[in-house]
Amino acid sequence: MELTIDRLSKQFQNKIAVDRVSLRLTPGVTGLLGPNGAGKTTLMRLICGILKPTAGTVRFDGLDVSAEEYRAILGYLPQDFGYYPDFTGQDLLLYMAALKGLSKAEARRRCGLLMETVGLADVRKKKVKTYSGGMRQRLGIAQALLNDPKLLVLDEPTAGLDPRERVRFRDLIASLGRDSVVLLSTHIVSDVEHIAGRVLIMRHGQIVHDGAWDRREDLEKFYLAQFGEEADHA
Amino acid sequence: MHNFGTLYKFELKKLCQRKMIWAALIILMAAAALPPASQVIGKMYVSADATGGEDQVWSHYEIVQRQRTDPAGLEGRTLDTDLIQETVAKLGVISRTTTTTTGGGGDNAESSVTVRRADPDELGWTLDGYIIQGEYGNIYDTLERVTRSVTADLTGDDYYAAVDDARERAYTYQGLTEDERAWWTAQAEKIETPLTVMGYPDGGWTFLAETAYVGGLFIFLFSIIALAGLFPMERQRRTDALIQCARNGKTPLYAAKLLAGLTASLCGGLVILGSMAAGCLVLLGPEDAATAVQQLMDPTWGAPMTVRKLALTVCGIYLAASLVHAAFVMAVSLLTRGGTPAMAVCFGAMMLFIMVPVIPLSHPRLSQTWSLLPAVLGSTGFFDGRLVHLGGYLTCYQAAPLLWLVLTLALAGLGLALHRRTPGR
Repeated sequence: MELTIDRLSKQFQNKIAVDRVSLRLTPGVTGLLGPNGAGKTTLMRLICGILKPTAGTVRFDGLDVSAEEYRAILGYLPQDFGYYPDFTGQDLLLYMAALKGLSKAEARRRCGLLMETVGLADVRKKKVKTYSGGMRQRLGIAQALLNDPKLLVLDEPTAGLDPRERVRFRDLIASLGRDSVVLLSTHIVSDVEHIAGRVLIMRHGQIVHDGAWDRREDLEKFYLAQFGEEADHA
Repeated sequence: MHNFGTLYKFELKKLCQRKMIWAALIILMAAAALPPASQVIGKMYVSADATGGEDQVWSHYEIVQRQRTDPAGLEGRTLDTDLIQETVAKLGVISRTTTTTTGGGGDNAESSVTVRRADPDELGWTLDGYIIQGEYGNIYDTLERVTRSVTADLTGDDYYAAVDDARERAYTYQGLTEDERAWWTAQAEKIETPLTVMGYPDGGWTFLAETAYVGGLFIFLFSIIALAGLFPMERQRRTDALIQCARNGKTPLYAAKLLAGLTASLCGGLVILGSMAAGCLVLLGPEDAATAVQQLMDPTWGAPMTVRKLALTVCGIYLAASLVHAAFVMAVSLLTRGGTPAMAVCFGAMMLFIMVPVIPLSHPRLSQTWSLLPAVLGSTGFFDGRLVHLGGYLTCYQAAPLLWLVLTLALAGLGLALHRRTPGR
């Protein structure tokens, strides 16, 4: 189980958002850090096949990113999780399950299980527009996990969660990383510090640091040292 | 699994949850019932000459009711020399010199018509030169449409010869080929003559056939309002990224959305035309439509067809057009990637077709192609004699639904290509 990114680039007019990134990701949680505008979200969108690369390839166990089979093993939580306000939480998950190709019975089973996991079982029949920001974020995490993904891409998954929820989801993500390739982008350095076995740091579209993280070291200090004032502003 | 059924159900649910669609549908339903309602709203002064007593004010509804009941005695008669002579004897004295004046005082709901009795036993009115009342009024009207002036010595043979002449003149004007003329002649031979008169064929079905194009425009309008945002809403709600990276987010989702859009347009069309038909039939009456031939209303109509069949055919054509409209609106929305720009383009297209309903017959091919476009439904060219050769000859209104099906599929294909190419943000 391996995600292979080979000389991946994305250029928007005269701005290079991702610049010749090559990576191999294996099961486990990989943290992606970087200041605003470093290219993290663009890289994640390229990995999810939402954007077409200017150059380079993305493959998972030999499957190209444009293949339907690739999308079948992918789970994605975007930074700005969109929803249908008049759908109930359950409807939204069932709709996403249909989009992900789950059978009706499997969709119902996974939907019930994940609603319990993210603590929304009591409000599953309420409209999403009545949910708080944190509840919507939890719903977003649930939809990303519907198809039991082998490749999980999470863009700021703990944003909007209260500290207790954040810790709970950190543990959930860590457990998912045992069987799947998890790429986690966040501004919260402590999240990466706690659960990521490997840390990537992006700057100006390039990976400037790629390595396993020794949890005895202070990642925040290391990160700030990499970017100095730039990171302060971010 | 492609889960097409589930996706289709959810796409319909998304459409049904948009309040704007329901508001538009209710308004358009009400507006569609207005044309028949306008026929029975208002009052008319009827002079003592006409009533045989004193001046009276009749509502249009009363007049419509009298129009429906007065000619009942002629039901089942054949339109032959005997009936023509009877009609001439009763109404032949009515001339075009009858003056019509409009009531003053700024009250547009009432009009004043100078009426004079044509015969002591027959009530004959004229309004803007057209006979609208009396037992023989409809017959007289039918005769006059072809002969222009009904003479005392008019016979059945004269009348039907005049009908044939009128058809030939129309075919010459429309530039029909010999083959097309032969096709229409064969059709005309299937019309049973002398025609059997139904007491009152000029009721709700006739009015529906004549005014259903308004409903057709309303359906186009509904499609624009309902569907311009169907695809762009995903971008607006920021769900586009989730859809694009889902296994069924490309072709299966597109197919589900397309079918949901077509369903919405078709259902909207049924409701709008249903409202219009209900208004026509309740207010103006469904009399005789099942058996009254269209030639009683339009003597030069070239094919055997009852009034009701024509009305239902016209409604069916507008429903078929609703599918093309829906596919067009959705393709435009994918092209413009926004609901508002798509609405603007589609409204512009609609206005263009309304402003240019017909292209002159001096450009025969362009004129016929224009008439066959689904948005030019009010065009007279749609029901003229020009035929379309698709293996065999078909009239425009027979060929159009088949051509529109192809057009719908082509637009669906274009939409799919655009949907698959739509980049994420």
